[in-house]
Amino acid sequence: MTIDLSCPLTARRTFRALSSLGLSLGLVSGLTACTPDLGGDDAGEDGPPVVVSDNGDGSSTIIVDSRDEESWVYLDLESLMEVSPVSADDSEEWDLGFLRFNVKGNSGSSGTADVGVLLVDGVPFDSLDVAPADGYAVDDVMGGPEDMEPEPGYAFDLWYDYDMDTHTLAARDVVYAVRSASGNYFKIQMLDYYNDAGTAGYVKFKVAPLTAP
Amino acid sequence: MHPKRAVSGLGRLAGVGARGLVVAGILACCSGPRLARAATEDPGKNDRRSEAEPIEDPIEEELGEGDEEDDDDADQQRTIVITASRTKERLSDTAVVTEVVTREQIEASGAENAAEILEEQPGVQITPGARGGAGGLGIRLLGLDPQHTLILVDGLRTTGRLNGVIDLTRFSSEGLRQVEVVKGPASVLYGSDAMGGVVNLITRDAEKPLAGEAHFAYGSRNTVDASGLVAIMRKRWRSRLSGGFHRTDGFDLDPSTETTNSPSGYTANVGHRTIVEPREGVKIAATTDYQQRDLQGVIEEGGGAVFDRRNFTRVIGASLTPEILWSAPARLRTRLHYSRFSDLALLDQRGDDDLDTLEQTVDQLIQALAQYDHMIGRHSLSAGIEGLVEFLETPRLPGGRRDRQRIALFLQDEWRIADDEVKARLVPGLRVDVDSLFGAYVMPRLALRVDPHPKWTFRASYGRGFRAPSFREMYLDFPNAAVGYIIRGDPNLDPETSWGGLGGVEWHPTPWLDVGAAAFHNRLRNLIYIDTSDAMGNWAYANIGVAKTQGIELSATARAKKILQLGASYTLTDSRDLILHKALPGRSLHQGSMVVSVKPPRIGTHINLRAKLFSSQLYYGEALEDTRTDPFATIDLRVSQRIWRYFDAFVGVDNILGAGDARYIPLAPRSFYGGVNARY
Repeated sequence: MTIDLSCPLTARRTFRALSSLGLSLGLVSGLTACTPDLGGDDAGEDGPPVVVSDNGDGSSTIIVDSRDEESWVYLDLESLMEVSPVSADDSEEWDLGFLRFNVKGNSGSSGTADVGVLLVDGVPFDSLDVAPADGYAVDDVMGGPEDMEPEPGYAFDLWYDYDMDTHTLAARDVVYAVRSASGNYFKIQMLDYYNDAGTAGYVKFKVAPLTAP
Repeated sequence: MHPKRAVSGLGRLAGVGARGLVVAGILACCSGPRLARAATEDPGKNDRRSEAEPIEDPIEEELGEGDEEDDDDADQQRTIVITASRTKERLSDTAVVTEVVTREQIEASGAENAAEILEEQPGVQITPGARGGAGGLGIRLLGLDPQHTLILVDGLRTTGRLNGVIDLTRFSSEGLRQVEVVKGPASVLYGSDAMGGVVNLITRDAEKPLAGEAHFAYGSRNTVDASGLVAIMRKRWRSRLSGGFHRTDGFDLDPSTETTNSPSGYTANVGHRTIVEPREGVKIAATTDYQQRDLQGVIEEGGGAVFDRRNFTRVIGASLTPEILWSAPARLRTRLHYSRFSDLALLDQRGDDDLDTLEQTVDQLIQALAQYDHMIGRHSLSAGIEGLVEFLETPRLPGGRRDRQRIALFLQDEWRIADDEVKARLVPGLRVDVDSLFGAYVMPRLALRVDPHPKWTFRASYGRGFRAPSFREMYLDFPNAAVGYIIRGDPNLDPETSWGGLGGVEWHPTPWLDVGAAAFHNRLRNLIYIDTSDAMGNWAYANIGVAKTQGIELSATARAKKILQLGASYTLTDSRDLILHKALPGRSLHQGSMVVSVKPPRIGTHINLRAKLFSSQLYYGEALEDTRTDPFATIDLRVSQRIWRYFDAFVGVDNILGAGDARYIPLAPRSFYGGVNARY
């Protein structure tokens, strides 16, 4: 930009101001050309929905990928495999269902089978060998204020604690006895809701068969 | 710089005697206005002033010429401020208390950005915006949160408020001439957000025929600050081009966690300002700015997820300000400003990509302003109309984009009731904002200043403030499916409102001593919080908060010639959440500051020691018990030495005591730095 300092003309001065403005805008547009290509560098791998590890002591550790917000993942406790019932509402193929942090049993309001869930208080997982004879709960619709839609109530609803400070779930240190759709008994201890990378939606629990009462 | 070069305004003070009567800025007298005097102490500056032919503006001349019988008063006379009344006036004459940090104070403190400039001011608290340094640093005035302080650049609103916080580290100090702080409700002149007060960052103009500056500093954590300025001034035009580059490694106060407390990365900026006076009485100012930042940090979320966070931010601003000054004491000023804030935020989950997010936020703001000032007898009238259009694009909003329009009218009268031995001035004002989203709001304010004696000044003001709900608060739709809650905005939110008052007395018993005392009270209603009372996790923003802040500020400054200055201040801030019935989080009930400035004559050395003390602060635990932190103090020391006509060398250490902790008070750890300034 050249500037004639003796220029007496108003128009030229105004032009000078506008030129200066143009210079700045040019500078700005030059600098703005460089935008970095931002992107994540860790590609996550989606494994099978149910991963089973044999602990060698008769128990197994199960991780269910329940990240999907709409589709339940169904598990058969006898085979420890994912099953895909044609109509989950009317099927005895599955025992437990998983959707995010929700864990439902195939009974009551959730299904037509007779899965029962009992929270066994004060007994460590390893010490529980025989299933309690009664007290098993089934899924039921949860009552609420009249102006609210009824919410589903799951017999497993109390498996976690919610931390209001960090908005995270942590598995409670409790053991459940479960009666499967086939009438067998299992003990379950919930372990976690996050995978190693901290992603929510991976329900992790330990399971072993129990002697029937 | 000499303020005379920076001003051209209405002679609203035409009738005011030349001799400064009072200490302006009781609240800042330890490092504020009193030290403003220092701006004129640079031995080279008067020389520079004589080199340039002045721009002819009779009112500027009048504002710039003070009676120099008394150095201190002369400095008050010379320092020109604009924020308190929206017209230029002498610091010594403001009806509303204005605190000023001058260019020389900025340089003496070694502050590299607006956050570092303001953190040293009395009664001010700089507070982090979000975890991991992601939200930058905001300001608390009078115990109010960052979203209740309006941040202006040359009187214009800035964009890029993220979670209520405008990151003050965005504003590099090399382009700043002075920083003005007006505490108390100022919505009467500036509209939304000015509930706790206004911070106005005034940029530099050319001050002499040819000027050049370069600054380089290197410090702890590989912090580099390099900046430069070139300015040209001629009879009818002047132009300034400045730029800077700043980078740092950031810091992590708790190495046992992955989370960092302050990001690493760089900020680069260029700024330009040209003022042309094509004919007498007409002045056109054009300003452009560009800034680019690339900041990186680490955040650890609950559940164990660790994210590498990267923010690439660009801010563009351009404004045009034509101004017409009639020969009569009248002036019309029009302004047009466009700014665009763009932030590309990447959260890159380590070991997985399930939670990766890449979000772009673009906030655009167009402001248009016309202000007419006129003197009639003892009345200085200002009337204005202001239009604002804002567009926000972010994936967090349904549809991804929202806009709002606002138009405002304001009127203020500065009535000099008495102007003799006893001076009295009454300043009523009224502003009406009509917003496309929430309708009309009326904000009155009344300010009074009485000088019963040349050594005494009393000032008081009372007014209404408001804060318009943000787009986020009105339209957010954020489901956190992982843990089963959802936060929604509420389009029917009302603005947050406040009534606030500030009153004080300044006593100037001798030329070397100033004493000030002030009290303030603010009552806030309709505060917008997230209502988490719904057990099913359907949460929403709601006008559910009621709070008050009140307190006192005391200050004293003493000086011995130009060699030694001592300042001390004390602030008591009592803040309460009137719903929860406990103190507002993150505030110290007691706060003190101290400054010692030593300039031995003729050897070119300047020693600057600053300290701030904070009593314990309360932090809420949502589910856990509340936490109360320990009291803490920060001490900064800086020594500069003139090593040749054009050069200064400096060394310094900040946060000597290493105050701060990773969770609640994430202050930068002890930092050493050194560098060189060159000036021509």
